This record gives sequence, C-alpha cells and structure tokens, in this order.
Amino acid sequence: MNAPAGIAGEGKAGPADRSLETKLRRAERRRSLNAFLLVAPLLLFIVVVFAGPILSLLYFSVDDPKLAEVMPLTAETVAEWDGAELPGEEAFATVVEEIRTGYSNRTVAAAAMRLNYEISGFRSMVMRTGRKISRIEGPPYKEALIGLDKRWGDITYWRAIKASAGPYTTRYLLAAVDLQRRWDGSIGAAPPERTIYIDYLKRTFWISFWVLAFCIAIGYPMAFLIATSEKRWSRFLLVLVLLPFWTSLLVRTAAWVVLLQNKGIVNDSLLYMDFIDEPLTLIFNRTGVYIAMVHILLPFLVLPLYAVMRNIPASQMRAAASLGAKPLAAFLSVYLPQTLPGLGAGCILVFILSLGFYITPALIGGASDQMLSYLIAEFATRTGNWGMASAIAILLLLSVAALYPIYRGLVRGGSLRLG
Amino acid sequence: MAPEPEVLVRFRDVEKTYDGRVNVVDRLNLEICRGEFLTLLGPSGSGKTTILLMLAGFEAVTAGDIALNDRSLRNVPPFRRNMGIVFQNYALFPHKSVFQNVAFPLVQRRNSKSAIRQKVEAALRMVDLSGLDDRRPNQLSGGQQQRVALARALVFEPEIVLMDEPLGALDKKLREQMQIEIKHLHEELGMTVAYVTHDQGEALTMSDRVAIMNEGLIQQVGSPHEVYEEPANAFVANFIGENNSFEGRIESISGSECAVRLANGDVVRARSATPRAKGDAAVLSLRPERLVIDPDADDVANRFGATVVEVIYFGAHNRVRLAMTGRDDIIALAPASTRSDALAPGETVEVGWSPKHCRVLAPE
Repeated sequence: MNAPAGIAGEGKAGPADRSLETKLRRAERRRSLNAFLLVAPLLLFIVVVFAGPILSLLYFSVDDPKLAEVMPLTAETVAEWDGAELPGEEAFATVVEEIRTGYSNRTVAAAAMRLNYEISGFRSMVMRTGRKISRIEGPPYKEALIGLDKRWGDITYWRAIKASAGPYTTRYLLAAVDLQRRWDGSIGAAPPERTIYIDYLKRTFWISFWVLAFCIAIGYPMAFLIATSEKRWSRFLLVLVLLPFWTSLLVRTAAWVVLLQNKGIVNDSLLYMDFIDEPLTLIFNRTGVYIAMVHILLPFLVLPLYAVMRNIPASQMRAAASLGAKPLAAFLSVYLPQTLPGLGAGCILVFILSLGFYITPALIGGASDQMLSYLIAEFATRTGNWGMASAIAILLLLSVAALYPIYRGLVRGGSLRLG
Repeated sequence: MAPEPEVLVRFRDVEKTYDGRVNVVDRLNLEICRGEFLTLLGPSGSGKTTILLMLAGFEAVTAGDIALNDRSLRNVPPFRRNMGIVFQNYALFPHKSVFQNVAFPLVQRRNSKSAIRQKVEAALRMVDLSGLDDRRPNQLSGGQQQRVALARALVFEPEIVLMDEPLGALDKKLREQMQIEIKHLHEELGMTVAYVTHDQGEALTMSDRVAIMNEGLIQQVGSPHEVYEEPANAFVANFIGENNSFEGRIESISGSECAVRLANGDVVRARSATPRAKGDAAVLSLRPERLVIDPDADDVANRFGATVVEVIYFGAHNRVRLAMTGRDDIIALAPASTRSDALAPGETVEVGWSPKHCRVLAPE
C-alpha cells in the first residue's frame, strides 16, 4: 500500500499547477461520469422510444424477404439472370420445383402476394400454377410451365420475379413518390394507375396550408385579445380555448359530424335566421374538414402566441406610438416581430399536426379529402403491405423534417429583421 | 434678464377618473414653460403618472383640456403629439439593435438614410454610447439601456420630453450619476422636460420647478428652494425632506411673526406666510438642520431645554433625537464637531432656532 505515499511524493516533486490540473481533470471526469450515469436511463428511453420506431420504419420500407424465404433457389437463380431474354430451362425447373413444395406446405401464397405487388394478377397466376403443378412430371419444364399458363412465357413476369428477389428493395420508397425501377435498373415514372401518392402528398400539404392560414387568421387576434384583456376576462377566454383541448379528438370530431350535417344545428340555425334557403353541404367535403381541423388545432397556435404576447409589455406599443409610429406601422415593426417566435412555434405545431391528421378527414371528409395518413392506415390495416405503409410514413417524416429549417429561418429572421 | 417664459403645455381644469367615483387627478391647472424642467413629485397613487399618460395621449381626459402651443390635444393621437417619452422600464425594442432603436422615430418620420445615420450617431455620442450601435438591448447594462432610451426620446427633437420614473430601476450610485447627466443634457439642449418621480432628492437636484402631488391634487408648485424652505402646507413640509412638526394654537400675531402655544404650554415664535387669526389651530414646521444645539447667536429667539435620547453617527453630521416640549421624537441634524460628537444619551442640552426658519402652516 504505497500508493498514497507515491501520490504525495509526486505532488511534492512535480510542479504544483500540474498536480492541480490533474486533480481538476480527475474531479471533472468523475462528475461527467456521474452525470452520464444519471441520464443514462433517459438516454436509453429516448433511443428505444424515439429512434427505435424510426429505424424500424426505415428498415420495413426496404425489407423484402418474402420471395427469398419461400423460394430461395428461384430468388438466387433470377438474381444472376440479366433479364434481357427469357431465362433458360434451369430457371423454369427451379420455379416448378419450388412452387410444387411451396404449394404442398402452403407457403407459396406469401410469395405470390409479394409478386402481385409487381404485376396485379400474378398472385392468382401462381396459385393456379400451384393447383395444376402435379401435371408437370418431368422436363422440359419450360414448355410444361408455359403450357400450364402461357404468361410464364412473358418476360415481364420473370422480370417481376427478379425485382422481388430481395432481400432489400427500393420499390416501396420509389412508389411512394410515384416512381418505379425498370427491369434494367433505371428509374422512371410509375404507371398512371399507381401514381396516386404525389397527389395525396400535395393534397395533404394543401389542406394543412389552409388549416394553418385559417388558424392564424382566427388565432392571432384571439391570442392578442386574451393577452391584452383584463385578468378575469383573459382567464375566462383561455378556458374557452383550453376546454376543447381537454376533450378527446374523436369526441370533438364526432361532435362536428352532428353539428355540420344537413339537419344539424349549424344548418338549422342558418335556415332559421334566413341566411340560406337550403341546407349547406358542410360535411363529407373539404369545408367540413377545414372547420373541424381548424377548431381542433387552434389551441396549438393560440397557446404559444399567448405565451409570447403576454410578455410584451404595453409600453412597447406606447413607445412606438410616442415615437411617431402609426398603429399599423407600430404593429408591423414592433409588435409582430416580437411575436414571431411564438407564431413560428404555433405554425409549425399546427402544420405538422395537420400533416398527420387521420381521424378527422376520415370521419368528416369525402373520398377526395383524405390525406397521407389515410393511405398509411389503409396499407397497414387492410392490405397488410407494411413496406408501402412504412415508405409513406417516411415520406411524411421527411416532409416534416424539411419544415424545420423553415421554422428556424422564421424565428431567427424574426429577431434579426430590420425595421 | 430672463425672457418672459413661453407656455408650452397648459392643463386647464383637467380631471381624470377611472371608476366614475374617485378623481385620480382633480382640478389640475398647470403650465409647463418652454425649456423648463418640471418635476411632478408625489407618493405612489398621487396621480402624477396619470398626468403624464394624459399628456402623452395614452389616457383620455375625463374633463378639462390639455393644450400644446395653445392648441388643444383633445383629438390628437399619441403618434402625432411629437413627445419623446422615457418609460420606467425603458421600453426599448428587444428585437432591434441600439442603432435601430434610436433610428426608429426618424424612420417613422421618413428621414433620409444619411440624415438618420448622422442624427443617430450624434444622439449616441451625446449619451456616451458611441460604438455600441449593433448591440441588442439585452446585451446592455441597466444604465446603458437608460441612455439608449434617452437618446431615442431626444433624437427627433420633440416638443417635450416626458420621463416616467426613468431612474427607478438603477442602483443608487448610477441613479445619482444619471441625474446629473440628464440635468446637464437639459442645460445643453434646452429641451422641455416633464419628469415624474417619487424620489424627493431627485426632484430637488434636477428640477427648475417641482409640482408636488397628493391624492390627485397639486399641493404646491415652485422652485426646489421654495418647496423645501417655504412649504405651502403640512403635507409638503413632511413629504419633502425631514421635518419636525409641532401642533398648537396661535396666541398672538405681530406682522409676519406670531407666537404659537404648544400642547405642553411652551410658546414658539414662528413666521407665518399666510395671514392667520389669533386662536387658529396651527402646525409648525422646523427642518432638523435649523435646530441648533447649544445656540449662542442672538437671533435664536426660541430656546428650550432638551434631553438627548439617541445619537446616530453619519460621518458628516450627527442625527440627534431629543426629548423636548413634551415630545421625544424631535430630530436635530448637528454638523460634525467636537461638541456634537461628544453628545451622549441622557445629557441635558439647550436647543434653539430662529423664528424665520420655523413656519406656521394650516393643519392637514
């Protein structure tokens, strides 16, 4: 046990500042280790709960194991095939063999389903081939298979098999932006019957944009009123804003269905007051979607705005007026810039939340008012196409991520803007 | 030698009420002359800030009228009144740089770019802030923010500069320094200033005239010397500076001097500014520094025996609490000297004061 003595000796021998430095470094290291251990559970939580799902989303959108699982040899064979001309006898033999075993132990359906994503009708073609596969007893397999279904002689089907060979694919990601990979590896536009995703994306942004615009038009004056009125009034108004906030989204949406229908309260009162002669169509169309979404998202704009407005002293506008600024000029050059951080935060919240809206358009909108989330739900719950669902989810995620720099620019621009 | 003062602002019978029952400002008649430094002094709630807000146009006048250059301000919105205001919290624009803050009134007046640059630079030089153009208000100290607010309120050469307790947020030393600087600026530029404060020291140091407010009413308007030495009533006497007040009844009057008998029977000779009748109740006001311990001069007509209760050492002077005329809260400020330094509680001394320093006031 000569360590303490050694340290003491070192401290005496070496320059004093160096030993102090070492001590400091040692203390700092201990502190940072402690700090790390303290936050470690939180870090783990963040990784598991936030990064995990995003990574799995990315994985699912490129994962393509189905065909290779069921028909491994076929996948291997077509992977080597160049795709220029119909493959040879060997490939046909492999396909026949693997459809035969796959059909008998009932695994071929999964592969057939995957092939159907490439060419619709492929699933039933494989299943039918499977049903009749016992008729093929020996070579030549090429003629025999084409004899069962002459589409086996069509090279596009073989190219579809090659495209499904896996284990990874870009088809879902490309499809989500209306593109596809051709057999020779080049990327081109998807066939017209499949180009719906960009339209959905555009519509999603369009609806979100208008919802945001209405929210600003209603929310800004509302927040101003709450922030500048007397205390008891502002508290009352704030509760009015928050009250719907505390109710479930589904309940509020359902309430709008009741209110907006042809014989609902809104139409009845408008009819009663003679503003209109016949009921307005407020539901199962865009109008209804806007009304309900704006109502649901308004608090997200009002609250951050209210928070910044409350901290702007009344003397700011007075100062501007005393310095000769007319009310509008004072608002634009003094008040508005100071509310930009809150406005930016509110806008980004409203816009991002509305990009992901599902229930409200689904319940109140018509077929042409559905947004991207509708497609995700459709793929995930009805067709079980997780690849496509993940790819669209990534599209949505990227759209949101693209908005972040805009938000930063808005906030920073606000504080630097020249007046 | 001084030219006839030109009236810039005239309050005529101005009243202001918020709730319809109590007048926050009552029967206000006041003139602010061009080039003068007028301070509205009063305790909080006395209505002084309300007067400033009405002048600036942020509060409506309930009754009466305010005129600037003999033109009524009734229908003139704040942004056309051409008054520079320094707010208590400075109200600098946090999102603008120092330069932009000071340039703001000039931009609103559509001055040319070069004129703006020249005027802003001159204004910043004037308040000793050159070189800080690009800073944000939150990067400045309290004193520097104060200077920016000052430069911004002066840069467009307003008719009048209104200041609402502008030094309230600064520490004592900085406050005193700024008082002197504002006073010098006023002397150099000759602008008209209406200044609101509750700090009597500030009012006395800086002002040409002080208007003392209480409960919405002006108690007295006069030079710092007048309001200190010749308070118009007991409120002013007590509010400005330290004051010993004695209550009694007027026993006899001869010219401007009268004799007042106190409750314990002592008679004090004092000076009366307003004519009063024999037998009236009266309050005597005596400044502590006029109360002399061990008086030897001949004009000290009032002489009493007193007992020292407490002596507090202040360096340049000693603050002595005395028991006399049936009271034990009479304060005397004795300049440091071997005599006053040696005073000890319990000691019996003779005190006195001249009748001309003791004023007879009406009771509150």
